[in-house]
Amino acid sequence: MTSRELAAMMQRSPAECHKALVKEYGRYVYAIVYNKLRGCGTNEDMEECVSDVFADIFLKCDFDLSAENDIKYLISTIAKRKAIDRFRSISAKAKHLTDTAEDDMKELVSDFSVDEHVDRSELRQVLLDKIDELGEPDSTIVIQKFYYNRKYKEIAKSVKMTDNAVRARCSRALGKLRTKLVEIGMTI
Amino acid sequence: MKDMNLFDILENAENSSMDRLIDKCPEISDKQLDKILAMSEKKYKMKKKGLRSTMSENVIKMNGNDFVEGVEHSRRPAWLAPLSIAASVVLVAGIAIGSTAFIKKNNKKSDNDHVIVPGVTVTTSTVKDTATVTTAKNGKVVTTIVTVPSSETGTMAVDAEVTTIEPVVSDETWDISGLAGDWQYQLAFDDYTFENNPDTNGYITINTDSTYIYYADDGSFVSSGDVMTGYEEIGGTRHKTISFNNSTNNSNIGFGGYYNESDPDVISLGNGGTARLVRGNNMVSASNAAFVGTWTYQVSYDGVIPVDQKASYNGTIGINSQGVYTYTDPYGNKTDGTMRVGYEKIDGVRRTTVDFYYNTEYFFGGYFDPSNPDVITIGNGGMARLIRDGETEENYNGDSYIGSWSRGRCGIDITKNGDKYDVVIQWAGSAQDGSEWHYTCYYDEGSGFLVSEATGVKKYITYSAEGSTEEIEYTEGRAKFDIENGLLVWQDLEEHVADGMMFETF
Repeated sequence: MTSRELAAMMQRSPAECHKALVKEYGRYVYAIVYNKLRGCGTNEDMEECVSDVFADIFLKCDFDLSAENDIKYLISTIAKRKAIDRFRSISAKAKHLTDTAEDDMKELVSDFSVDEHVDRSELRQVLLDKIDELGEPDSTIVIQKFYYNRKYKEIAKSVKMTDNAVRARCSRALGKLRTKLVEIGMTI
Repeated sequence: MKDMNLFDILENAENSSMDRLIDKCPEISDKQLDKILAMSEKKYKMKKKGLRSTMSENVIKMNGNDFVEGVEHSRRPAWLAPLSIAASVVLVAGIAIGSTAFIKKNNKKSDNDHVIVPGVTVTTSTVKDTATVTTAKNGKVVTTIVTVPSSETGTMAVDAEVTTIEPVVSDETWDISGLAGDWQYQLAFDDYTFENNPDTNGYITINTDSTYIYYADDGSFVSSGDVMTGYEEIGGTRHKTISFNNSTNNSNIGFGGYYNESDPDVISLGNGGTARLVRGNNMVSASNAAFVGTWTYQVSYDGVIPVDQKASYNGTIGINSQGVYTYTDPYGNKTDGTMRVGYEKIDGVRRTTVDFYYNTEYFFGGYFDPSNPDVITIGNGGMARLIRDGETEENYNGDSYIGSWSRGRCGIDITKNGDKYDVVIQWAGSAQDGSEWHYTCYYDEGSGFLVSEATGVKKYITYSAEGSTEEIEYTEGRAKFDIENGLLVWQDLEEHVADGMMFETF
């Protein structure tokens, strides 16, 4: 969907436009938000954040829909920034510091390591490659089970299989994945 | 102590990885999308309303994102800017002058650290590392002992007339039976008074047979010896003196001071006015230095077996140097209060007490044994205690895992089988199905874990009117079990089904 298409929809009916946006990009925004908040947020936090993203997008629609660009990139950027803001807010609540002693200030230096960031990025690519090598539907089952933490029943609905079949495939797929990772020196 | 879930590295992914994860993202139900839409609309309307009121809708016009028209012009008197500059200059100059004066004043004080400069006449005499300063003012005599660092040993500059007053000591003694009992050793706080929560330096028990025993604040023994009395006349005034002669380890180093009947609950130590022994209402909560840190509150796991054999987690307590504690119960609720250290004697045996108060109400308390400084025993039955953080782990062994543990629909039974441990886990899915795990584990001394190396079998069980059917999902499963703060942690190394779950014993 482009900005111009969205502008035309807005002129017809803003409410319909908002609904169409959520339906079209809801899953996309959720995946981005989930990726940032998986380690610290609850489902409620994620839903809150997704709704914040769409509220900002709706606001944006009121002012600037002149470009011909695909609106997906705009949504992606807003979603990432909102999710990072929410991550900071949740993390700050969890590690609230008061009356910081001078010695403790040493611990507040940035823990961002470029080497580690690059290593993680490469590791991520390798892991996703190996998961893709499992083929469908196993790769989807493994990702939905262990990354998205979905129940077998929910995955079964998503891949149109029975619960038991999903359990069995997941178990076998994990075994295969473990073997593949061991071959390249990684362990689950 | 927990293995990292490898899938965690997929978090915070860069764009290329993100696209692959988005492709595999589960569908979001219409119901959930409607909920998100409703929340978004609500937030959108609030934001829009806020934006309108900010822009004063009828006055300000916004063209695109870059231009705003119609905002009000601000007018300020021309003389305001120079006046503000002048005021700022005055303010900065005032701060600079004030700071300089303050620093100068402080520097003067530090030249005579811990010494109160005498008013009229001063004389010094150097004896090894100690200088005796004697001052006379309006006929009143004060003698102060000043410790001089060895590198600075020497005679202090003297401009005034020297007055040396030797106290007259007599052989006469006085009866100390009225002083028998327990006294608290106090040190004046930084302001050289005992008013603001003085530091404590232990307790001294004076016996009627003219002996004493000196204990530290935590109840540990420091020294003992004889108590000697006498009189000393200084400047025409007669004072009662009392000396505590240390006979422990053949050491003669002790301490002494003055006693005055007009203040019967105080013995002044030395003549600097910075140390004293007190009794009765003058006593304060003893130093809490020995208790500062984080402690784990443990209770007997079944109310029968003593807590030092098998314990359940009952929260943590953090104690700071001001004697303020924060108790966090197992559900995360926090209670703040104050801790008081004291002592009590039971059958002539002295015990250090540690009591926790919530406001002015007694919350709970226990006993501290200096020979076991990482434990505070709560109550008398051995059913509860505080363990200093870091001391918890060593109290567990393989047998600590034996028993039944549960969390929600999942139950874990651990039994001993020779030198191994059988672990059976049942996790009910619904009335018609469930999963079961069987592990044979060994106790790993190094890590303190129960470990299953490829012994696990996972079964998926379905129940029907005809009976149950089992389907083996995997064999050779690996797992680890750990006890953290009295709760069991199951690390399923195959599917990580129990990550983040803590099982309670029952």
